[in-house]
Amino acid sequence: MEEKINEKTEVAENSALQNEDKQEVSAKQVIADKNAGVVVKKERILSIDRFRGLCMFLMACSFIFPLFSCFDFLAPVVEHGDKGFQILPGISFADLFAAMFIFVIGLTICKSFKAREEKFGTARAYFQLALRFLCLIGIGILFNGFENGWVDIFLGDKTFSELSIQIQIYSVMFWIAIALLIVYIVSKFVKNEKFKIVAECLFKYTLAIAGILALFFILVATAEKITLPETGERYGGWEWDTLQNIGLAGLLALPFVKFKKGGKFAIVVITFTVLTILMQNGLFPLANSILEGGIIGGFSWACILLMGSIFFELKDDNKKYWTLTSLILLVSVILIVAFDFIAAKRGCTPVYAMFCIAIAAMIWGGLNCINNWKPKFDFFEIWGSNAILTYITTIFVVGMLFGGLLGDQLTTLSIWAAIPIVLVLLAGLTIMNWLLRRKNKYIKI
Amino acid sequence: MEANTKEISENKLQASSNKSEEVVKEEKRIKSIDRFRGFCVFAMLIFQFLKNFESLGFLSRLADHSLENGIVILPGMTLADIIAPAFIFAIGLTFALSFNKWQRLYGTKHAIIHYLERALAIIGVGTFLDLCNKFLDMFGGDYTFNAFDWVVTAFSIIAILGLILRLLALIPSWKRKLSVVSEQIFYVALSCLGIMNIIITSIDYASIVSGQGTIYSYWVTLQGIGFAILIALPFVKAKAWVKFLGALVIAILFTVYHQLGNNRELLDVIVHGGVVGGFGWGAMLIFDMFIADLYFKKKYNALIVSALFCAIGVFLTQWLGTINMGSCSPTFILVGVGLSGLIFVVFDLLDKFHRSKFDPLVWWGKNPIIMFLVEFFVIGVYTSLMPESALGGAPVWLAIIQAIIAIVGLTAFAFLLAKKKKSISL
Repeated sequence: MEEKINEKTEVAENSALQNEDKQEVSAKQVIADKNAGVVVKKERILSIDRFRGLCMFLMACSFIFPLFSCFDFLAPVVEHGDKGFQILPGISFADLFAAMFIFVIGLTICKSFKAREEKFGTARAYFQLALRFLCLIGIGILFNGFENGWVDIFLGDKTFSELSIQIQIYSVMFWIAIALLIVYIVSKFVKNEKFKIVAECLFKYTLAIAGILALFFILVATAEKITLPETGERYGGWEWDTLQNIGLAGLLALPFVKFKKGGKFAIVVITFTVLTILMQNGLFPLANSILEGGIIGGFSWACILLMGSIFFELKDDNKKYWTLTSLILLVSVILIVAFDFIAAKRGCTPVYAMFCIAIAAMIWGGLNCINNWKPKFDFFEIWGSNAILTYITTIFVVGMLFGGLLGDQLTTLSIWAAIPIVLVLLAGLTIMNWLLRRKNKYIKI
Repeated sequence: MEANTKEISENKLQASSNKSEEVVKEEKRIKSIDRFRGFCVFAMLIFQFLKNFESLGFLSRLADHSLENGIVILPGMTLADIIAPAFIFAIGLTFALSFNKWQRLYGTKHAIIHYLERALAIIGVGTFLDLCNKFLDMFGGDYTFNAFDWVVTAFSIIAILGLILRLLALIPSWKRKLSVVSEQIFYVALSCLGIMNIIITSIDYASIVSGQGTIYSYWVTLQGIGFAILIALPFVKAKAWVKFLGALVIAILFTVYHQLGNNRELLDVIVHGGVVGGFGWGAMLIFDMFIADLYFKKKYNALIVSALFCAIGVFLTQWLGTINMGSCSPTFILVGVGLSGLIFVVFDLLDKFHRSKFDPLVWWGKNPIIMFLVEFFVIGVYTSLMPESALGGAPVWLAIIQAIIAIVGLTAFAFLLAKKKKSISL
């Protein structure tokens, strides 16, 4: 009996989680408060979807265009770092997208946390979000396992035994995760709630374990980088990518989501101050040696995320919103241009983060002004409705299958052959998002 | 019927009382603006005086515009470079208010003529001060007067006569006869000086462009300010967005010219870019007026827009070159507007903490023209008469004593003028 009750509770929790996701995403949904008998209309904030969609679209373009050498003339727009078009010394145009995407996550994190907290309590809300971010890290690292392991093996560049121990683990886990994903998808069509829950948990916790492993290895690698000489024997793995970075930023920001905006701002100011001092005094080369700065850069990315949540709270207070935006922009530009502070996405220096926060806040502020404009085909809103799925699909299909396996063939294509491929890829992603959006299906972790 | 009539008359009464309230509100002095203007004048005069004393170290560098000796705050910009834009900003804050007052009292046509004359007169005063320097040089044997200098001398004498007549008009029995005539003599003479100065500075610039160098050299801060007012005058009654667009168009056109060929270097030859650079200063003043409009609507808008101006200015140094006051570079226009706005916002924020009647910056801010003239004639004469051992070679204690005397003396003078409510404006 007790078992049955527990089972029911778990099922209810699970369906509540799904419902919450649906609520969060549907254009307009009525939440009936049975106790109070009050009907509250929950309006979706279009500007967040549009902003997320804009980031996703630009990110997808930055993956697709570099595949073809005939689009080299676009390189300044899509390349990162020194190769790209420099907006400020050290910051290229393409460097803005990743930070803006994390800013958008910040816009919704507090709302997401509160919704979970109301339903499941504080501890469980923390746990669920931590799991979510660990899963993101896990997905990222398993993709690394595929890209740096199986793609090399398929192309005949390496054998399995030649892979590093970390890549061996990730590449094996990749297939385990794929198998569990298939089981999870199958479970959706089976009318057995327990099976559904088990399949989902197995899939999620596998990803989370991969995430924990990735964190462990990157921590070890960071420590080794500081303590061991360049040529020394290493144990940790220097495997890190965008999804891991997003996950780590979320994890680091998570303890502060319940803080009031003043508290969060204080945390950001302190972190930026300490990091700036350290970066200007020798830490930057270490942060710069790994994509997005690894663990060190993660603190700055977490601050971007927290600032996103602060700006969300300031949404209706134009005075504070725009004052903060303009002052952050001013301080960052002066520090970078006038005082030569190091600005870099790779390493995520605080001044880079500040500049991106200001730009993101300006764009989102602008998008907020057109929230009442609702066209039938809202391109960026469609692209922003299933961001994680779009991102994963893009890096898997475009980055790994096209880039990894067909890279050499694609590079030599003429522009007339490349344009249809690009259009098909972009149209495919648009249609995928449009269909899911139309069916109110939102894939979330 | 009676009730209706009563209602209408009540409405009228209400409307007139609202109007008078608005007028009172408009005319009420905003202390932070006075204080800000006072700070600008104080910085211009006292920092300039401190520049004479090398022993004061950092303090003697406050007024230095050179990148080698000045206090560099942004690429190409020293601390001293912000004072002139800040003073222009102070003008921009009250320009529209002051114009509206004149328009209300004397009509639009009169207001326009008054401000046209006022702008030209400011240039004229600058011309006169330059002439005084040339006289000193001539007496020192370093300079020979040309025909234009003598013409300027003639008009200056007429202006001085006009001033004397204005002073005589203070005698009650002579007021009716002399007041209007003396005022017109004074204004017209100064305006003529202003017009002539614009013409000969244009000739100077043409001469520089053709590689011959300057011929007349009559252009310093006051001329720059006067010319900026002339450029901004057509926009004084415009809505905020029109001001912004107008300033943007002027700034863009000026930027295009500034960035072409070696125009930046050519503009740098004459102080503040001369007449051509004056368009940049004009754009700056119109931007300032735009920010002032925002400020009077919602204070925080001024802060936001100023910060954005400053950020964009610094940002553009990557492509448009460093901030250069000498040529009134586009980046200088933007940073000058933005930074001045930010400094003013600080004054405005501090306003609520200031409750004391002891307000020296307000005294300084009430009579900028007099303070300029006093500085020029009193401090100028003092520094030219004192031996080098008492200035550049003075020990710290002597420099400090002189600085304190200058500060206290000028502040006391400003206080007396403020207390007696004597304010002299052109």
